Amino acid sequence: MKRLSYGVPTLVLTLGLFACVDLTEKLVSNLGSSYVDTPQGLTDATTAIYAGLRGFYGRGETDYALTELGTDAWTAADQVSSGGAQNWIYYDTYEPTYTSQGSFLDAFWGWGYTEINRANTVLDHGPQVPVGGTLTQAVKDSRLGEAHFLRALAYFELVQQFGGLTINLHAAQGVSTEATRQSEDSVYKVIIDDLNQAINLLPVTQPDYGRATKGAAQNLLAKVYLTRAYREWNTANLQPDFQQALDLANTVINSGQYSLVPNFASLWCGTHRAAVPADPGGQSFCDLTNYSERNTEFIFVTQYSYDPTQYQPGQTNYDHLEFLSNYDGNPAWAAGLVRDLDNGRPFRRLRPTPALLDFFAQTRWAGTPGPGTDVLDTRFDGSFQTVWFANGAAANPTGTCPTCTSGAPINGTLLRDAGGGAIGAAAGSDTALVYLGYQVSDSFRMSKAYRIGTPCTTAPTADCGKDNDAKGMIGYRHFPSLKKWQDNLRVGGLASQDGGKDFPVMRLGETYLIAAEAAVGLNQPQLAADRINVLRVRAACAGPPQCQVSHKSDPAILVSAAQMTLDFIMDERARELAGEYNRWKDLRRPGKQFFLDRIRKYNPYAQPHIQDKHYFRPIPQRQINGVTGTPYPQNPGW
Amino acid sequence: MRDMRLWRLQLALMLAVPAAGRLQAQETGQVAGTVTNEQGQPVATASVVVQGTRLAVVTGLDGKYLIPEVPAGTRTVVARLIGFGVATQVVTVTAGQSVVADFRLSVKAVELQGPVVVGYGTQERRTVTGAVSTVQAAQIAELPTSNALKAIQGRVPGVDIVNAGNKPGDSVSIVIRGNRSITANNNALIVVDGVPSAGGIGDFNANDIVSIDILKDAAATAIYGSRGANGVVLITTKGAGTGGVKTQFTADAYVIGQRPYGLPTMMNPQQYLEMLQAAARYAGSPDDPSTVLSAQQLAAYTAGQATDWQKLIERTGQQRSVHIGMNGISENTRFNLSGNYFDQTGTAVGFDFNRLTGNASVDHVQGRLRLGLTASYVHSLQATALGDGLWGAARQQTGFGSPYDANGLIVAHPDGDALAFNPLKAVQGVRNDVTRDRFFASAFGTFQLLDGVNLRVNFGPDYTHQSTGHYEGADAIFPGHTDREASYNQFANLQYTLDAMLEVHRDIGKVHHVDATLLYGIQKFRGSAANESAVLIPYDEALYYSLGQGQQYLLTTALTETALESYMGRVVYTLRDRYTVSATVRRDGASQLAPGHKWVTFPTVGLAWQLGDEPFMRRFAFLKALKLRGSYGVTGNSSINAYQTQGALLRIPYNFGSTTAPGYAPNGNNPANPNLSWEKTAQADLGVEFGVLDSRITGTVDWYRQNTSDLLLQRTLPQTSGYSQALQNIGKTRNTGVEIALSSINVNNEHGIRWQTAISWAHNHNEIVALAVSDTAGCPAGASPCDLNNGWFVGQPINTGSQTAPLNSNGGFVGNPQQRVWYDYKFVGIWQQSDSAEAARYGAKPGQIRVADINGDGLINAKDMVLQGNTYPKWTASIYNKVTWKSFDLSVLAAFRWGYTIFNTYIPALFGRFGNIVTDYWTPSTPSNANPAPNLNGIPLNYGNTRGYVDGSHWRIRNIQLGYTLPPSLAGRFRATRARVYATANEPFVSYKYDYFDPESGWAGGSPVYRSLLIGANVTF
Repeated sequence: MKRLSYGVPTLVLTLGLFACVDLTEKLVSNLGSSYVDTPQGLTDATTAIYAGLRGFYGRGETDYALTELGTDAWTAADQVSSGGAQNWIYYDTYEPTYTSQGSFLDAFWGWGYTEINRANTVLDHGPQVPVGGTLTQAVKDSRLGEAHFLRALAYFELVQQFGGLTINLHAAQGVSTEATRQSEDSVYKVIIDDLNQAINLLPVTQPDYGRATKGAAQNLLAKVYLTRAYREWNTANLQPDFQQALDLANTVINSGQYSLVPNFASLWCGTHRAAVPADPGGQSFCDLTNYSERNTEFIFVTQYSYDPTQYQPGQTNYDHLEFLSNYDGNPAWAAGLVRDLDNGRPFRRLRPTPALLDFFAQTRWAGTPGPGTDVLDTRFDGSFQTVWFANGAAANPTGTCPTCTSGAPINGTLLRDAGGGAIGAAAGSDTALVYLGYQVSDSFRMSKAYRIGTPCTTAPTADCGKDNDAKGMIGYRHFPSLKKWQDNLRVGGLASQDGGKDFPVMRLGETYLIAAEAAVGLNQPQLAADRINVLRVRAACAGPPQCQVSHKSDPAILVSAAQMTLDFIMDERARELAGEYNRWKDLRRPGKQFFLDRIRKYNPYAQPHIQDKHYFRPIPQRQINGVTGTPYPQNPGW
Repeated sequence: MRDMRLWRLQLALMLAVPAAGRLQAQETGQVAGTVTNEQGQPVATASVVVQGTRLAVVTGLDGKYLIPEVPAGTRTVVARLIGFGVATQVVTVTAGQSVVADFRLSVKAVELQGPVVVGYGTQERRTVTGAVSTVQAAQIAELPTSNALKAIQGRVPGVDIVNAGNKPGDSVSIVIRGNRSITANNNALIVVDGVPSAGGIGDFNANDIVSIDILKDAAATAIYGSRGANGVVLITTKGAGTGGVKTQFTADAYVIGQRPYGLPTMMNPQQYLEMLQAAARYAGSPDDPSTVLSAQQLAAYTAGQATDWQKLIERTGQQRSVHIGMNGISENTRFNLSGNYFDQTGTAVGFDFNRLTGNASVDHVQGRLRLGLTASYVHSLQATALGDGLWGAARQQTGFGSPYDANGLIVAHPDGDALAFNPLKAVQGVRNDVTRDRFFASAFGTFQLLDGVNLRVNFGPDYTHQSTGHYEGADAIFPGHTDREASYNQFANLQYTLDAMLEVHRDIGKVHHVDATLLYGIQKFRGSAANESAVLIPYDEALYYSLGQGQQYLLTTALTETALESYMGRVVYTLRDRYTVSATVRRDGASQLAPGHKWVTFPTVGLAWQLGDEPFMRRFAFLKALKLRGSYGVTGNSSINAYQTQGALLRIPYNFGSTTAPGYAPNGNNPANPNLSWEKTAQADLGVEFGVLDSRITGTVDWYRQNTSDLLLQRTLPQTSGYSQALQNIGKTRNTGVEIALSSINVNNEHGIRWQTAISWAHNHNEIVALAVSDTAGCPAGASPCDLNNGWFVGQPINTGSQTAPLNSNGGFVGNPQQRVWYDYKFVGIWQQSDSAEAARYGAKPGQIRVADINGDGLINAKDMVLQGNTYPKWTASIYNKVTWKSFDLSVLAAFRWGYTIFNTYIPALFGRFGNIVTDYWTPSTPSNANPAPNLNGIPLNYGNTRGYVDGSHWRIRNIQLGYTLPPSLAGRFRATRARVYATANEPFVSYKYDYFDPESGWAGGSPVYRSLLIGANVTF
């Protein structure tokens, strides 16, 4: 029996090790869906809708492709789709390669429905979550109000691009591939209903900066009514909608919660820090060192952060890349410039159309354009970078005047303003490149050490060519950079794409324009002019060093009731809101003919191709392909 | 659960009762001897078995063997080896004494007899009812490589082994009899010494492997139930059973040189300038060099400077391997120790791989109890710096730039383009190091309850710790990227398997034989992971080892646990050694699946008939052996990630002002699915095995059909559903195939010349039979219903990647390059000047790519896409020849892969920003119809990819080996018992139909395939 002793341990081991195997799964590193039904879960589920805003506002290529390319104000720069696998220049040109399979369409569509599903999750579960602890009735009301507001925002973004939509008012239960498409009218009803609920539920001010407020909901509703007013199926409500838009805009303006910041440029940038060349004219890069992104004018923002615990990888503001021109690495254009963090990493996706520069000409260069004309309106310099300080190892080299027949050398040393006064004259600094809004003589070019780029001579309705380097003119690589989104606080250095600057979705400046547009619709031109003049007086130059004298009470800055046409409103929107990701929707708002006319007139690259069907974006092919049962309707012509 | 506990109790009682019963000491003796071939030379690795017992050993290199602890009495001893016949002797074993049994084996093409590893034990090949292919150590050793599976690539019909990458240390994938699953894993289950492997086969040292058995049909794989649907690869390591000598010491070492091939030829500066000028003229821009070239490029061009960047990063790869082993036997204890060092440097700068393996086995018999343990430890380091992207970076350079400046320092951006970084600089500044430590073991204890009845317990822990350290230095890739970034990701996975088995092997009377196995098993997995990252690391030397000194430190951790519980019963009944029936039932429960769907039963039956042994077949004298077999069974696939049924929330951080706010949202790619269940495959197999002309020609032919249903399908959804994707059990696929394996001894003469040939041929037809959708709208002709979003078409093979376009928006290849169906616009040619009016209708102009307007509506849109082939070969084949003469041996393996379409990733991009492949292109004076006019400024061509669908059919010489075994007298001079030197050429020749990359990998985005030449020696002392 001795050998038995070896067998017994084996058996004991066998039986002992076979403890019951539990096949029940337990989530440890993640939270299950029932978390949404807890007080903190309700708040966190609401936060997720906000986080989703980063999927569109300020992120990727989708935002500018669908809101700025192919408009009267913006056209493609030389690298619009460089680095991509698909050529997406068709968003600018409306060429036949633009189809329902276009990149970004599906991403945008999916963004909208993800936001809607997240909001629906809050609205489905929220009402049952018991009040208690940190979840007071006020907090609970606010969360539901926020979800209504954010759902309305997503539907509004989608309906402005695609027209009629599938309406989901509850979170998805299980997987369904069937979908029906509702009319635009029904979508607007949902949006208006959501916003009215949001207005009822939301507080006037929020303890957390960045949460939606009553004012934000009112402001959005104003724009929704304004947009609905023009719809061809909405003739019955045309005037009441304009009136609602005007009233709501006025409510926001008069609420006491918001005010225009005195200096337009300070909406986007701070003043230059001590270590860099002084920029008294405010024409150089945008320095965020002394900038506060919280101000009285922003009504609702998508918040970004430089702290990676506050964003998912990739969910950072990308807009600082898109509007920048090729200032660097091209000695034939401007020497002494290398790429740096201040001036940004130029992706060269968008450039201003000749028309956009021309819209600014009437404020900046009123009267006879040219040297000696004073700066009237600060919005051009507040929006665009036109001056680059030399940052290369050497001082500006001498060169030859590009269009001078004499080939005389350039020998100037300092940047001078239009009147000949020194601008960027800090010790040790020098200026390498300047864009001017007007034509200059050969002798003027030769008297300066810096490269000068001037507008195309055929502006505003035609472009004199994409590549105008040899003529010293603005082209598709070299143009004033929009500086509103420049971000020199990026942690990873100049190559980093991770911008942390907040993205204003709505600001009070636009509210004045909404009011003015509604007033035009109601045929109250004086009211419209009054609203616009508030913005123009704010934008008027306050005096040296930007301009020689103050223009705050200069009659030249003001507009009259007689000027108040829809086209003027659009021109003014271009000046006030250039590059704020609204243009395509703005042009579309008054109707198809207006949209086509403006683009045909001012975008020479879109003009040959744009047609009726482009008034709506095509429903993404993935949606068409994925729906089972009744086929999903495509927009006409696509 | 309740009935299961009852089950377990019964099992325990069954096991325990007889154990307490009759137990007596048994008298034993030992059997020893030598196995030789017809020429009297020793035969190594032949197996010697005492019939009716589990006693088996393998001969040493001197042909000797020793079997201890043989029960006294008259015993039949059998010796056999693949490629040889069988020899039998009857000996009388006397207690406490040694009896001699010598064997002489004669050559046979392929053994149709002999033991086969069938999972949870071995079985006589005669009685196996399933389709099982075996590869022996000798064949594996012919192709020295880091990965044992690479060595059997192309050898076994129906087994598709493909490199997952060509960097040193990259793994291989093994797919058996086609793909069944669209979303879940199609990779075969790998079982090492009875333990399902958790960490891949790349960690094994090929020298430690005795055989690889591949179970292909349901009869064979059903014993692995829920994991058997994709076939099973059983790897048997040497364990402690080898060798008949007291101790033996083996050294095996080789060195190798490797060169990449199949690289595209890039434009030189002159060609590049001409292309830019053509692009400028085409765009109507000035075409003088000073305009089209950047200042740096112009200066380089003027100075006549040119760089071949691919040459610059290429180097001769080296591969070295040293193996030492020792084994022996002492009384009742056997042991085997081995150690291996493997080292490979890649064919481009910055790639290195090394691996240390230690292996120890011990096997001890004490009366009825036998205990064994095989334990391995592996440490490996794969350093890849920039990874596969290095080759792309080299090709991104235009050739104008110089890698070094006047002072010999590396230039970051030789072309002046910020996105075109210097690959040498990146290799210097980027680190990516994958360190693995793996410990795995297989321990067993068997206890003989009765004669022919054993209780066996297997325990197999498998622990892997892996860390990936990544570091990117300042300015390594982007100019002015002053930030040093690092991350350190690690995981620790522990999986263990615990099986208890009752094995019965009984002859009942003269004509009945029963092998039965009852099993209860569990498998548990616990994986924890931690990922850390930081930026602004203060200095380079810190690499990824001092993240705390950086800023923006981030840490995430995660835990994953899964469990599998199984019951299995298998009975193999053989009548008159001619008729065999096997039946298996396995019941599995998996934690990953939804409650109520966790358990499922997998039944199988198989039949085998030794037709050749029937008396009425004797008249066919040429027919030496003939066996028919058939099987039908169901197996499953549960290889989905844990927690997918639960719809866990997605965590998305946000901030309100400066306050961090956690957000939680439904996961758009993973809605909760409480119905998620097993994917099931029903498989039928018919096979015939035969040997003719005195078994000089042997062969196997198999036909099979697999129907897979309840596919675990990750579907792309219309986004109005609120989700982007969902995992569901929907749809069906089918594989139908034929496999043929033939072996012959062509020559075996008195001059000592022996020529052996093996041919394998396989055809597999894969198709989707049903999908979640029944829509036919928009489907291409003959392929409806279809799911266009996912690129799935009924009647077409499985497509991966959830789309039809070959590349994603970043230009990266989508999906598995072996499993793609091409659905795209049809390339017609280039719009010519004579077509300009028609081109204008499509918004195109002469010089641009023309695609077919299939429906003739004057628009090119989604309705004009057509099916353009797929990556599934119509057939694959290999031919292996081996000639031995005296001490020399020469073998050649050729492989074929025919009738499929791949996407040529080396199609000329033709835009003026990065490097370009040499090509013709359209100009008004040289109107090409293959490539369009080039674009300026890095703007991609419209429809550029439509040029890429090409025939991938090819054949190759996979390897040639020449060996010389020193005569024993010569070897003896330096005290060796055996010594062999050999030279091998891998991939010396490939023949394919288009330019550039080797089509086997399916695409060329990674590192190129390489050829190698190696020289090695194998010595035993």
